[in-house]
Amino acid sequence: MAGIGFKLKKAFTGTSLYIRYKATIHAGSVIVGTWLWSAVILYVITLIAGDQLSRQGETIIIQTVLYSLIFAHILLSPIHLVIVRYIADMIYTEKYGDIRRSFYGLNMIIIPLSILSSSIYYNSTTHPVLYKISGVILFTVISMTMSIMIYLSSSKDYEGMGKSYMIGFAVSILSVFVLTTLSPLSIPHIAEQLSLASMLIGMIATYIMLYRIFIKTYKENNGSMLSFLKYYKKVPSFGFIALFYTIGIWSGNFIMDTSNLIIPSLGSKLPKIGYDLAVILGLLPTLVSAILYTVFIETEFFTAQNEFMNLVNGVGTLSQIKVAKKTMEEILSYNFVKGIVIQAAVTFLALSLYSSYFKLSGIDPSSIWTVMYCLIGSLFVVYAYINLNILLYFDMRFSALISSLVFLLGNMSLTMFFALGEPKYYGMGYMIASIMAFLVSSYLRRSFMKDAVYIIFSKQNVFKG
Amino acid sequence: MIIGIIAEGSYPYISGGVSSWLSQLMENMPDVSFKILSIMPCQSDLPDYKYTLAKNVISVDTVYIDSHGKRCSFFKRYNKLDKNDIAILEDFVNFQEDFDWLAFTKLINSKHKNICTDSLLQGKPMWQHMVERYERDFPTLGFNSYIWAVKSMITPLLNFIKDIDFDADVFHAISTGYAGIIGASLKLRYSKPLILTEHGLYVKEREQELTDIDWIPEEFKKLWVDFFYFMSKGCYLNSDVIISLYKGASDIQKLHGAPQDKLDIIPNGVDPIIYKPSNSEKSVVNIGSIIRVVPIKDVITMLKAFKLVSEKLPNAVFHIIGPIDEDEEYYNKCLEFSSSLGLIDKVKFTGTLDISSIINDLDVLVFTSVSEGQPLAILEGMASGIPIVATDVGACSEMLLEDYQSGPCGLVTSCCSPTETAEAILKIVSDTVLRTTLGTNGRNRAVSKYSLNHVISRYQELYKGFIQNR
Repeated sequence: MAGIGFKLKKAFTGTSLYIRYKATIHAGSVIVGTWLWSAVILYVITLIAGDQLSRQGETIIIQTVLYSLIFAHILLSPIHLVIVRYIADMIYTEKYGDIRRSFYGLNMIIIPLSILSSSIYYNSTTHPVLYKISGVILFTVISMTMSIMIYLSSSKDYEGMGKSYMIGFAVSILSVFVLTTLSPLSIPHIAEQLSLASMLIGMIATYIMLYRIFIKTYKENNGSMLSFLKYYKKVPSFGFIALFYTIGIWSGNFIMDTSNLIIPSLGSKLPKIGYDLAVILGLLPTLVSAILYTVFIETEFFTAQNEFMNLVNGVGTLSQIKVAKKTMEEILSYNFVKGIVIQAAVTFLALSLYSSYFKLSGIDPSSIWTVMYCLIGSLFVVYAYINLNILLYFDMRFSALISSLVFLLGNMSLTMFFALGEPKYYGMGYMIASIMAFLVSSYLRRSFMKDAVYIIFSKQNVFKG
Repeated sequence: MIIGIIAEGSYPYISGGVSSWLSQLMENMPDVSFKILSIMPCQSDLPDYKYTLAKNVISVDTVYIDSHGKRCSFFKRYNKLDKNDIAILEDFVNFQEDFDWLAFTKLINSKHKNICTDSLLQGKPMWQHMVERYERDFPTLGFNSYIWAVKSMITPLLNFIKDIDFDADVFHAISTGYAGIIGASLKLRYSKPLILTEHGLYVKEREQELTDIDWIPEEFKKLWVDFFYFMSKGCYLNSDVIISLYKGASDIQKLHGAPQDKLDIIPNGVDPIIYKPSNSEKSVVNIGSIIRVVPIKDVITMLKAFKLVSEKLPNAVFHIIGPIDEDEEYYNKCLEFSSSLGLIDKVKFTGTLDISSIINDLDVLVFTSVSEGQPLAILEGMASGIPIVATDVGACSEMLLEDYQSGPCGLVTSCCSPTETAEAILKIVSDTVLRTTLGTNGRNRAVSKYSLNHVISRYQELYKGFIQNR
């Protein structure tokens, strides 16, 4: 999170519950804003549209939004870490104008790519034209929103961001009311088209609000638009790390979908997105860890790491450096364990809730196995991601790359393997791959921490390469 | 016969006594071929050649202290070091007095050990030894500064020993330091003889430079000095002949660990046909100094002395002859100081000139250096019959004061003493008889003791001797 640390630290300067709450909301909105907003609005819109929306129509909308989110996530993944690093460097060198210009440069790449890729996809479908157009725009707007959120991670206007999502939400709800009331219901598939259009209108409203915050944050507008691309030469592994990790998460879904394998119990209700939904349900509780992690890493850990690095790069004696390292390790270990315990509790709670919900909704209880695997997998995958981020904090790109690659290859191969077996094992591949990625990344993180002083100094070359 | 000259911070990029001597040596040995390995601080601001290469110079290779060296291939990132190798590295990091350079050179260049300098520098064994030394000797100093200091010292050394591919029949290092240790490693690698000629004493000169730097903590200055001693001793122990210009320098070499049986003295030489006295009449008093404008020459003291002289001799003009671009900051400082003394019209920084054509215009040659070997400029002055004023450093007093063969040819003063220098100048300028006597003595001594032919033949014999013995 480029520069978010300073803002969160500021937000945490007080000890009142309100201040902590605000900082946590900020972290939450920055990390999961687009996903959470989309999920909530999707749920509300489908509720409002109610009977006007057929089960098939509802599935199509969910599928459209879900895959737009997943593909936007994948599309941005090779750019995400590079941009974060670029913004951090530009903030450090006070070249704020370059940040804003790079945003435009990024959009110059993202928008055509989004339009092109989604157009190719929708062109191959049998959806009505209006739906296809809405789908293309939706995917593009989601990609743009995810892009702008990377930049806004260093903005202190978390209230503004919260409001942007709230207003977008209100606009969507209003739109769905107005459009479903005014529209002639005789047109086939009109309800799903209007639902999607309503969501889109709200999302555009949100984006406009976010863009206002963006230009308020980055007032200067000069410098190079595409200089961030040079970072692919400077830190080439950054592109791969996030790409592998992101594809790692979703690779199982593609394999399950392309194999036409569905979870039977979910299949009766949502036949096409059974496994996708299980993964989403698995990932949902990890929002807790994502937020906890962001708040921790950007406040306590940032301070400890800063202290350590200042001594390393400054005039610290070796004994001072060792003390700072020990403090940093203790903070990290304590929060890591605390986070896992909290996450495990949340995961267990989620499992109980899902189980009860399935019973109440008449879903085959055996389907809870897949959800459970995904829940456990997501618990580990989020901590693998935290390990990976900590490694990146110390520029341990190779270790981060290995961790993300283990996850990607593990999930692909194991999902394929379990896809050949009984349906009750679906999701086990994801779980095992996540555990593997967690173990590998934990080992690499611990190895690094153990020898941090040596590794940091040994990487420094006295003379130019 | 190919002689591999290894020169640090001098020929052909930097002019000065050592470079001029080398140029003279090579030009006067047309039947010998020379290859030059020139060590320079950095590639980025490499100056142009200051010398026209002699016809018998067959190549000039330049290496840089600040270069990274060859990159490790992926498969050479992990060294195969055994216990003995690790012990060698420990001695290396600790600048051990009796360090085994032969074993070290073999280790670094071993094809079986998978060594690359990057991996060696970044490896655990080297790191552990560096940390042990830090905890033992410098625990209260900044660790980062320590690591960077040590890495700055040993990185070029490792790169040079590992990467330099320079072969000849005889290696001839023109100083200790990096040049000397490269010479030693090449000798050990190729089993060829190594001659070391030291003009100034490298370690002493570096020590002097460090004294003038205020941003390096004293402990690290000592570390650097230890490192220079370490390299010098390595060079002394592995040289076949260690030549100095005068007895005093030879004694110091012995004190620094040079084996007595390898020591020899070959002074600088001057061509008495090119440099000879003339009786030109002058309307002003021309006081000159032939030096590089660098701190070690202590130009500030010289300017203070000139100020005192100009107060007594208003018609005196001061010529500082020699390169001004080696340390521009110092040159500007000298200019400003000269201006502040009101000498701006009287002190002329001429830059590099053809010495033989202007030296006879001078009435007195002045040197205020804080460190010297056996200045060629003094010999040129002596051969030209010009009386000399010089500080008591290096071979200056040996060259100028009365000996068993002839009378004095100049006056010797204390370092950093503008009053003594000024008094000596005034004494010579105001006493025609003294000036003539000193000039005549100088000429006689230059011809009898410091003739260039004599120097050239000594080196020729040395080179041929090594070739014949092989």
